[in-house]
Amino acid sequence: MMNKLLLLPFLILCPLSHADFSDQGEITFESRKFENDNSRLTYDDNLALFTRAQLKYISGGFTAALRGYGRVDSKDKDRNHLVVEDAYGSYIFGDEGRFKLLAGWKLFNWSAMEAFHPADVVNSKNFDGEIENLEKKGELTLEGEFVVGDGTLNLYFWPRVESPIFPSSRSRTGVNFGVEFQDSVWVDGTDTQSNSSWQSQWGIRFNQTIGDLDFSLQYLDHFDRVHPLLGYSNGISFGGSEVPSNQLELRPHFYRVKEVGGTLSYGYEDYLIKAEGSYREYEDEFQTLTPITTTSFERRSPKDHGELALGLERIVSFDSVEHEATIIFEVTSILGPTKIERRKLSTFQRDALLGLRYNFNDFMGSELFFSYIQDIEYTDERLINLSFTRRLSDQWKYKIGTRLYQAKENGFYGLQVYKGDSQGYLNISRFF
Amino acid sequence: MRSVSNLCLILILSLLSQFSFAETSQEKGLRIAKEAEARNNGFIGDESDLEMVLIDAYGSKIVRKMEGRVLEVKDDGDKSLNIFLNPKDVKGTKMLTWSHKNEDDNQWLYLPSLKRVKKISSRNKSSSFMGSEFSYEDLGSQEIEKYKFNFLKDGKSAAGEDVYIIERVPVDNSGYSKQVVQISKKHLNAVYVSYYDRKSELLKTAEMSGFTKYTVNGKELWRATLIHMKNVQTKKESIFKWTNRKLGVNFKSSLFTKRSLKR
Repeated sequence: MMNKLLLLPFLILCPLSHADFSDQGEITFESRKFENDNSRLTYDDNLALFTRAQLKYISGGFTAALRGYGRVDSKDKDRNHLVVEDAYGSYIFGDEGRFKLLAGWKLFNWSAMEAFHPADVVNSKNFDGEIENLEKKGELTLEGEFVVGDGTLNLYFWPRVESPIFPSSRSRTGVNFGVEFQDSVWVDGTDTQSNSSWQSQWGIRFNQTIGDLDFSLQYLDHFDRVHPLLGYSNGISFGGSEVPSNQLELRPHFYRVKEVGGTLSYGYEDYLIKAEGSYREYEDEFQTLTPITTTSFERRSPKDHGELALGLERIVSFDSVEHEATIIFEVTSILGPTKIERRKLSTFQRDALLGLRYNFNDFMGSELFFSYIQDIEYTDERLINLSFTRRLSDQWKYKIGTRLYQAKENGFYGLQVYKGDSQGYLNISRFF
Repeated sequence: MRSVSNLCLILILSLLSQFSFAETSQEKGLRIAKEAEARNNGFIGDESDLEMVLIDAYGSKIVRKMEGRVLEVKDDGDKSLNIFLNPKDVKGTKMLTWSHKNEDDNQWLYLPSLKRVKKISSRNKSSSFMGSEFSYEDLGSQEIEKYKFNFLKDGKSAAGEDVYIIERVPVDNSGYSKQVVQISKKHLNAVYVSYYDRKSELLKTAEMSGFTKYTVNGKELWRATLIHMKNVQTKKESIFKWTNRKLGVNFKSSLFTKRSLKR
């Protein structure tokens, strides 16, 4: 019924002349198997059906877009989601279309990198997934866009926040340490109690192309949805130290932040040089009661910090076999806070990635992907990703792979969170 | 005696004039290339449905479909936009190319599943286009500034058409050491190209056919509707077809921007 209602505006608009209507999507059968954790409380394997669909209607300067995804898991009901990525209307004004207005839910991708994304910060995430490329939720947006040279100046207003998706306590995708999270808290100055989704935020972004250089600059006053602080809002004094007043009230706390950032892509000879960065200043008067161990706690808030990622990419062709390989190198670091504070801020607080995408250039688009993410500070932590994709026909495709997490011990920070959660997976997709 | 000296003077002047106005093979090659470019300019905008048939060494075939748009740019290379329609997993992928006469092209790829516009390096021109025998270089803008030309001889094409046979050597950054091009004397379009790899061995041949006449602002323009590319080393083949082609289309320049890729 809901889907039919969402389709209604499109059906009304379809008969208009000179209109272009397009649709596309996929249905994927997902299966994944985690390494055994000897716990009967968690699901060591998942079978799920994932679907993503997009409808787009363009008539003159008007565009209407509807896009979303859904997932139904055979065991873990908390993995069942229906997420709107796009549901907006936009209108381009003028003959050359130099001004655009957009209103509705929108998914943004501001990243220039493959694994580390300091500047891609707008949308709330689904933390049940690949930590380096999480699924996103659309955000209610009012956008004005002006053409400037070979780029644009964009102004944004976001009147509400979408709550991120966290895996259930029975999920093997780490993150929540086997504890069920309560609703997210939006920390705005000293106001800690707000779990209302109606929180106004705004931003401005400028992007431009000059010769071989693409760059963007952005300023945002919004809630940081990339670095949640997991803890308790309220505590009581017990034996001289503060403990949560209710142990079941574990919540992700998202702090309001003013951040300036940007991206850069520059083609130099055979290389593509990339950079992405951000500096964040939090409204951090309120401090969250966070666990240090299972029995001890401390009050803290996210530290102001910079985050910088640099990347290099090169395509190498093997003419004799007509194959080609894309070699990717990326490195990222949190700048400013101490080593211990950095650790608490991000999974990838100082990490490097070496990646290889090997394309066989055959009829079926066979592709091998390998990436190795190494923590440079905590050298016992690494993430290895190996996958192979191949078409079965024009519509069908499969992907088989493995993700291996390595860390010295289980813990609350970095890749320690994922220790023991290595997995193998097979996805079979039907595209339409 | 006077008449003898006059005759000598005339002979010397004639020889000098022959010497000063004699066209070298390089000059003639460049002149023909320039004439061909001038003859084919003025299309304003080119819109078509594109189909590519990939044939492996055993004769198995697979079809790829795209929409193509080209915007003519005065004093620089053209801008092009290709929208992929199949296979379905890449449906909606768009490739935007700003080609340039004297510098590397700018190229971006829009990946609809990620909603991401990715800048890509255009230096690696020998990469296969969608797994076909066509490389990005074959399908990109063929600006004359990117080659050195050498006229080889007059000849006849396989179809019996009078052609100029010209060798063109890439100035910089190419997957080929040279190309030998047969240019129709009738409409100054390439009708056959032999591509030589970096070891100077014959790699591929391309045969253009189905030439169709278009008239744009009173100017006659000819375009091939089919290119049959054969890789003589791997025995694989690819056929590129244009259908529903329109020339003289007045595109908005805003269509060929990064911004429009996301629309």
